[in-house]
Amino acid sequence: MVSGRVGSLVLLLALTGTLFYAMAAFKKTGKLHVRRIAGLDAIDDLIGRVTEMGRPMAFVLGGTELESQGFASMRVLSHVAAQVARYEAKLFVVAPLPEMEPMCQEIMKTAYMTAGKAESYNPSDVMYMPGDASKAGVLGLYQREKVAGAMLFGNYYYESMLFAEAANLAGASQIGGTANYHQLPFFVASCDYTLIAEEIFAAGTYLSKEPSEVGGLTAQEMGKALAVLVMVVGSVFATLGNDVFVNLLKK
Amino acid sequence: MKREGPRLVALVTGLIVLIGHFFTSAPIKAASAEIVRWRIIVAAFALALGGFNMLRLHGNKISQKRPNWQYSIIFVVAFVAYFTLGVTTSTTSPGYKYIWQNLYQPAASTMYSFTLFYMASACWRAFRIRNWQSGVLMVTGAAVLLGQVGLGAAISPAIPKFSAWVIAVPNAAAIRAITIGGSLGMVVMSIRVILGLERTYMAGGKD
Repeated sequence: MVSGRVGSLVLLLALTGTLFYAMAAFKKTGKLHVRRIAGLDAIDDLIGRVTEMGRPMAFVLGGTELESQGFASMRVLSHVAAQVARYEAKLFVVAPLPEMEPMCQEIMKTAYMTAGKAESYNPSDVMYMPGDASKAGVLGLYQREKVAGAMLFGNYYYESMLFAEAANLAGASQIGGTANYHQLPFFVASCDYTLIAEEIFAAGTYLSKEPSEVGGLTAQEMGKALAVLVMVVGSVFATLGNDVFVNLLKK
Repeated sequence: MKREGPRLVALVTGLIVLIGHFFTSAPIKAASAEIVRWRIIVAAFALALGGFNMLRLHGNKISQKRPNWQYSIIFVVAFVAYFTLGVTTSTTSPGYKYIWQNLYQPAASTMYSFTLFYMASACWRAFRIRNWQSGVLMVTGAAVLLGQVGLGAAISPAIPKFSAWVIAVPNAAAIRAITIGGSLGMVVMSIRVILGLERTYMAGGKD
C-alpha cells in the first residue's frame, strides 16, 4: 500500500458503497428529494426562449482534456439536445477536444432520433474548435448566428469571460457551470444563472432521476457530510493539542 | 457490443490505474504506467480524427458553397500547408517556428487581450448596486482592488489589512468549500465512468 493513501482509498470505497446502496434503495422506493437548482430549472425556459425567438442556441463545452466535468457537461447536453429536438429549435454544439466531438455527435443524433426527427439532425451543428481557435470561433458563431441562448459548461479557464461577455453582447441569455472556482466569478458576473462546482455533477440526477445518477448524488452528499465531520473532529483534536487524528489521516 | 466494448475498456483500464495509484505491486504499477502512456497515443489518434473532421466539414462547405465558404478555403490551405511543413521539416525548423511565432502567437495574444475589455464590461454590470448583496460585492471588490495597489495604503492603512483579511478568511473558506464539493463530484463521476454507469457519451446513454 502506498503510504499516505489509505484515507483516500477508504473514502473511495465508502463513496462506491454508498453509490450502490443508494441506487438499490432508489430502485426499491423511487423516493428522492433534490433541492431546487435555479440554473437547471432555467434550462427549459432558455430553450423555450430561443424557440419563441426563432434564433439558435449554443452549447459550448470547456476543457483541455476529457475529465469528469466534461462527462457531467455532456449529461446536461443530452437533456438540452432532447428538448431542442422536441421543440425543433436550433442548437450549435462546440466541442473543444477531438474525442469529445464524436461523443457530442452521438448525443445529438440520439436526441433527434428519439424525438422522431432524425432528418432534422445536422452533423455540422457540432463543431470541433480546439485550443485558441475556439476563442475566435465561438465569438464568430455568436455574432454570425445571433444566438439567443448560450450554455457554457465544463472545465473553463480564461475563455469563460470571453464567451460569456460575447454572448451578452449578442443579446443571449446564458447559463454557465464549472467546478473551476477561479472562473466562477466571471460566470456569476456575466451569466443569468451559474451552476457552482458540485451542481454540475448533480445536474444528471436533477434532470433524469436515473438510479445510477441518484446513487452518485447520494455518494457526493455523503462525502460532504464526511468532510464536515472530519473537519469538526480534526478541529477538536487540534485544539486539544492531540495529533492522533492528523497522523491517522496521513497514513 | 458498440456500448459494451468501451465500458469494458473503461472498467479494466480504470481499475488497473486506480489499483496502481494505491498499491505498490510492481506488475500493476508497470501496467498502470503503460496505460497512461497509451493514453497519449490514443489522444494523438483523436487529434487526427478531429483534424480530419474539420477538413471534412470545411471541404463540404466549400463544395456546397455554403455562406462564408471563402473562409473555409483559407482554413484548408493553412491547415494543409502548415501540416505539410511540420511533417516534411520539423516542428523546430525555422520556417515552422517563424509562422508559429509571427502568425499564431500574435493572434492568440490578441484574443487573450480581449479579456480585459470583456472583464470591464462584466464588472460594470456586476458592480451596479441593485440590492444590498450587490452593494457588499461592490464595496468588498473595491477594497480588495485598492488593497493590492499602493493607492489603497495611501488612503488608509486599514484598506490593505482588510483586503488581506478578505482574501485569507472568507475568500479562502468559500474556495475550499467549492473545491471540496467539486472534488467529491469529480470522484463520484469518475467512479461512474469506470464502472460503466455513466453512459451519456455512448449514443447519448440510450441502450
